[in-house]
Parts: sequence; C-alpha cells; structure tokens
Amino acid sequence: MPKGKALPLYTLKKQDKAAIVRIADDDQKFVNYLATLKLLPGTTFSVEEKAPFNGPIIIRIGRATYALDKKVASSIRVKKI
Amino acid sequence: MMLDCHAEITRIRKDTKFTIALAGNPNVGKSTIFNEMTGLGAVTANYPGKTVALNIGSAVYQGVPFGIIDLPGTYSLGSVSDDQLIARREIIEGHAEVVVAIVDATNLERNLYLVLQLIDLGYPLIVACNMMDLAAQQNICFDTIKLSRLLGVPVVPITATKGEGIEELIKTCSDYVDGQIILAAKSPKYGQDILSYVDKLSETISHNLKNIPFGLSPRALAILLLEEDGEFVGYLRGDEHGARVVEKAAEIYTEIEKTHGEKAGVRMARERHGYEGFLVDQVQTIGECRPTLATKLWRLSLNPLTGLPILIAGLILLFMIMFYVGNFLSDNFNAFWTLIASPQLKNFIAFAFGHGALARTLLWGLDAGIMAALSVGIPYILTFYVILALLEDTGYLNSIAFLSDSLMHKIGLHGRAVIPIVAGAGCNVPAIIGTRVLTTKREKVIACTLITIFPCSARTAVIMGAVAFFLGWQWALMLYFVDFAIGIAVGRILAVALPGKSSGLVMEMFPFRVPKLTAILKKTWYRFKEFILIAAPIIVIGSFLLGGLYETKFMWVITKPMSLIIENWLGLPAVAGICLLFGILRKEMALQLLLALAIIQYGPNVHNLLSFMTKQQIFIFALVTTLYIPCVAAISALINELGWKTTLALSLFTIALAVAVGGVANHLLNFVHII
Repeated sequence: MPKGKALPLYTLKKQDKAAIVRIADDDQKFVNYLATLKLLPGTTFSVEEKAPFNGPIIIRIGRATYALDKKVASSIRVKKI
Repeated sequence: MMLDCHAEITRIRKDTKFTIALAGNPNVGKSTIFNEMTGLGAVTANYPGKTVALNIGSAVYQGVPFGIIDLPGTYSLGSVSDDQLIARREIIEGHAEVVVAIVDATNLERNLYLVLQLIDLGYPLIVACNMMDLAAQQNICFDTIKLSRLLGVPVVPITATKGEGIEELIKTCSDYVDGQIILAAKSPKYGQDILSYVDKLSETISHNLKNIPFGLSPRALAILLLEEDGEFVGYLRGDEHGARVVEKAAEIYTEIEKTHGEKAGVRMARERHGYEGFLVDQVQTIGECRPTLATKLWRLSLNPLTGLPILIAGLILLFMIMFYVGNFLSDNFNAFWTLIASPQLKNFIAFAFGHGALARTLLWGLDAGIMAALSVGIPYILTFYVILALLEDTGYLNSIAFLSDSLMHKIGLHGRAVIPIVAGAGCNVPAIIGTRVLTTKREKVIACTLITIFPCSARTAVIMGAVAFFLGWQWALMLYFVDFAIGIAVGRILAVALPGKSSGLVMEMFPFRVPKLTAILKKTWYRFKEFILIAAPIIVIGSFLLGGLYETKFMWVITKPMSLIIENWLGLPAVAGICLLFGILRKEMALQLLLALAIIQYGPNVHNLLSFMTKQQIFIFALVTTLYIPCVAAISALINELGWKTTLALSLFTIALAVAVGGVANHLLNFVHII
C-alpha cells in the first residue's frame, strides 16, 4: 500500500472505520507500549467520539475503547475502510 | 512518614501463612476485591523513591491468616511506567506465593494480554474472572472451564460487587499453597518462528549467564528480551556475562525486522494478541446486545453536545457540595470544639501547666492546631473523597478527563487534572492529595502550583469579607480575575520550563457502572486515614511553632525586618505583617487577626477596617493573602505528594510571587489612583 495514502487517525470523523497502517513516532518504547494495547499495523477500529477544540478522539478496538489525545492520534497513520 | 511498602510486606509475611498478589488491568475491580477480602486494617504504602503506592492488607480464611498485596493496575507488565515496573517487580521478587490475575469478563480479549505475560514470566498464577454479572447483562457467555484447560490454570468466575466467588477464589489459593492443586500453566502457542527465536535465545542465556536476575527461567528472560524490555536489556548490558546474550538478541531483532518488517517488541505483542484472539474464539460467545441505561448515559456524557452541559452542571454541583456540605460540617465541628472540647483542654492545660508562656504555647498546638487540622480535614476532605470515589467507580471521571483535556493542555496538564483543580476551590488539601490521578511528577507539580494559586474557600472568605465588603463586588471580581490570569500564566510557564515532555494520552474508557456503597466508603476511609496520619502532626507542630513565636514575643523580632517589605513595598500597615504570618496556619485567620490586632494597637473603637486602612491597602492585603504560601494543612499535603524539597521551592515561589504582585499592584494603584 503506497505510504502516501495513509491519513493521520486524528482526521477521521465519528463512525468512520479504519485500519492502522503504521505509527509515526520516534519513541520506540511508546510504540511498543501502544502495541501491547493492540494499536499496531493491521488492527481495525471504529471512531466513537471526538472532543471539540482539538481534544481527544475515542476509538473502539473490539470490546475495548480508548481516548487518544491529538498528539498520539496524529502519529497513528490509518487507511479508511 | 509515609509507610514503606517493603517494611509492610515483610511484616505481613511474618504474620501470615501465605501471601497473594492481585494483578490486573485498571478498572477491573481489583480494589473492590481487595476491600472485600481485607478488613479496615489495610494500609497504603509507598514504593521507595516512586510515586506508586501499594495497598497491603491481610485476611483470614478458615482460621488461617493470609496477606494480600494489591498491585498497581496495568495493561501489561513492562518498564514504560513506574506502575508497570513495580507491578512486575513485586511479582518477581517473590513476595507472594501466588499471583491472582483479575480479568474483566466484558473485555476478556484485552485482559488476557496480561495473563499471557504472567504465564510467560513463570510465577504461580490463578485467574479470577470478574464482572460476570455485567457480562451476563451484555449477553456474553463463556466457558471458564474450557479456558482453564487451555491456559492450564484455574479460572474462578466472580462478581466482586456482589461478593460472589471471592470465597471460592481464596479457597483455590489456599488449596494451591497446601499442595492440593497443582498449577501447570501451558506456554502460549505463539507462532513457530517466534517460538524458535525464544528457544535460541534461551539457550544462549543458559550457556552464558551464571545468575539470572530474580531467579527467572531462561525462557522467561528470553521472552522479556524479545519484548525489548528496557529494564532487562539494561541489566544485561551491565552484566559482564550478558554481552553475548545482548549480541544474540540484537541478531534476532534484526532477523525479525527483516522477515516481518516490524520491530521485535511489536512482533511479540502481535503474537500475544494473536493467541489471545484464538483463546477468546474458543471459549466466548456473544449474543445480541441491547445498550443498557448505563451505556446510554455514558454515551451522552461523552458526546460534546450533551456532555459539556452535563460537565459544567456537574462541576458547579461538585463545587457547591464541597462548599455547602463542607462549610456545614466545618461550622458544626468548630462549634463542638469551641463549646465543648476546647474549654476542657484549656482547663487541663491550666491545671497541669498554669498560665504562663509554655501553657499558652501548648494551647496553640493542641487547641488551635488540632482544631485547624480536624476542621479542615473532616469537612472538606471527607466530602471530596466521597465525591472522588463516586466519580472513579462510576467511570464518569474518564468522561470528564476526555472533555476537558484540550483545555487542560493549555496549562500543561491533562484532562484528569480538572477534578483536583476544581476541588481546590473548596479546599486545597484534598485537591493536592487528589493530584494522584495524574501520572507524572511534572504534571503533579504544575497542578499543585495552580491549586495553591487559585483561591480556596478560606481565601474566598478573606476576599469576600475584606474586598467585597469594603470595596464592592466589582473589586472582588477584579481580584479573582487577576488571580486566575496569574495562575494560567504560571501554568503555561511551568509547562514550558519544567523538564520532561507531556506524555501522550491513551486512556481507556469504560461504560458507566453502578458503584458499590461499601467500596466507596472503604476507599474514602483509607484515604482519610492517610491524611490524618501524615497531615495532623505537621499541622499541630506548625501551630506550636507559631504559638511559641507569639508567646515569647519573638514574633515582633521577626516581623521587624519584614517591615521594609510590608510597609514600604506593599504599602500595608505594620500589623499586617503578623497577620500574614498567621495566615499560614489558617488563611482566614489573616483577616480575623488583622481585626483583633488592630483593636489591640489602635483601641476598641476600631472594628471597621476602613478606620485604619485605605481601600487600596485592603485590596493589596487580600491579594497577597490569596497568592502567598498555602496554609499549614496544604503544606503538609504538598510534602506528602511532592516531597519537602519541591514543597519548599513552591512555598518560596508563592511568597515571592505574592510580594512581587502585591508590590507592583501597590505602586501601580499609587500611580493610577482608581481605588
């Protein structure tokens, strides 16, 4: 999949469904931590809610729901499905 | 001062036959289970050098005492945060005979990640499947017996809020300790190639390392290295025999990256998620699910259109409860103390020590001091703790954090900080203690600084009683405005100046749950007990010191050098200096004493502040009172949360801030003449 097609997760809207393509963060420890929460390439999720004023975005992976702030959500690159 | 967890654990292990450690994700009901098992005698003890605290307690099963260590809730074991490090450390140091992994039946898949990690570590493990009632409501069924067979360890279904299954769980632990059951955990069936890497690395470890840290098996260490775990990689780098192992691990990392296109740590996580998915497929079936009322309310609280109005209403409600309930309790306690306890105490002191300076100093500590400690503690802190426990256990706290996160970011904090900051408007002490919901020291320092700058109810009393009363409500509003502006500016400066970047927020959201009343009360009791044990002595000692200074007339010696600042720079009358000093005991005392001393100094006709102070002086006095060093109770809470060095720095900072702002305001108003 050409890398150019991946969007930052933060640009998604409520009720969008997407798959994670890659995590663009230099901090390998943090990337590994996200992986333990199943935030890694290939994982599919849906967007549940978005807070206003550049606030966090809530996504649902399986039966787990997470709020991610703008910084984290911008570094996760996804492709809409 | 703070209990040391290792000392506590040693004590518990001496007094009991066996100890269990409770592990699990956050919000799975670990604390509820801990509270169900232990009595009121459990303690919270600090891990040395860390901000993480463990709950440690004991209970009795069929006449046999056993200890319980409640580990910090973590999504996985690792070394990314203190919580993870300490949870793992407590397990591998072998303080417990058996680890009980508590999983949330409504989210089995994610919860199994930790279980698989625990199995890989190799310590005796029993799984407790909690929230079976919620799972049933959501039409989730699973076969705990089949899961137990697949994992190789007992899986005990429980519903902690109803007390169901807890006895069975303890029995299972006890049976294991007695040798009646054997725990034979089955190694997770990861992919073939990962397993072959594990084997290769284990072999290298066995050949090269004389002593594996914490007595881990070579396989367990191999898996930790494949996770790219910082603690153990670092340990091996420092070990003279570890070089070969690190080399081999590096080779494997490169191979994994070449073959799979991702780093070893991510690959290992992926393998675990794969196996966890397999397990769940084998044992779980989910029927059709209609959203419950709790879930509907939860969604309303998160949707900004409905959630924000709910939040604002909620925060106003929080503040009003703290203000009115707190004040009500405070007034009643004051009345009780003044009418009943205090006279008895005075009589006793007079009987034992007469009426001299020593007696009066003792009264400062025992009478005024204890009253300060309890009349601040009981009303506001208890009220706040009950509210906090309700917010945590229902899950609404996370909704609040979600909605206010972006606003809090502007002052260097996260959404979770909004609760302690709003609580600070009632009383700083529970607010400071409440900063525990924040994960990094940096955030705690910023939050605590802002809490001490924004006015608490005592300072509001000064602002209302002095400024609003004598200058009008517009000037009181102006003072609040100046104060908030300063607070926000300080917050932004600290956010930039303090080292450490703000960690990215990844917060689990879970639907609303009905809280259990006894759990709320127990949580509140533990936290309150902690405050009393730590804060009360500091407050009483502080009162002794102030009393001694006053009674020995030493106070006037100290305030003499202050006169340059008080009279020249701040433009206040000389008596203000002493009042500000006493404001350290109770902020509203600054105003009360001002009136009292004015009467002493200027005669009994002085009951109106305006008869010896100008409006400008009243304003400056209230401004300085609002900004400078927090009261003794708050200082003791700060020492507890941040350590004495940071508290000292914060205190000096607020004094400097108050003096600077007060002086500038004074000279500005001299120049502009608008008051």
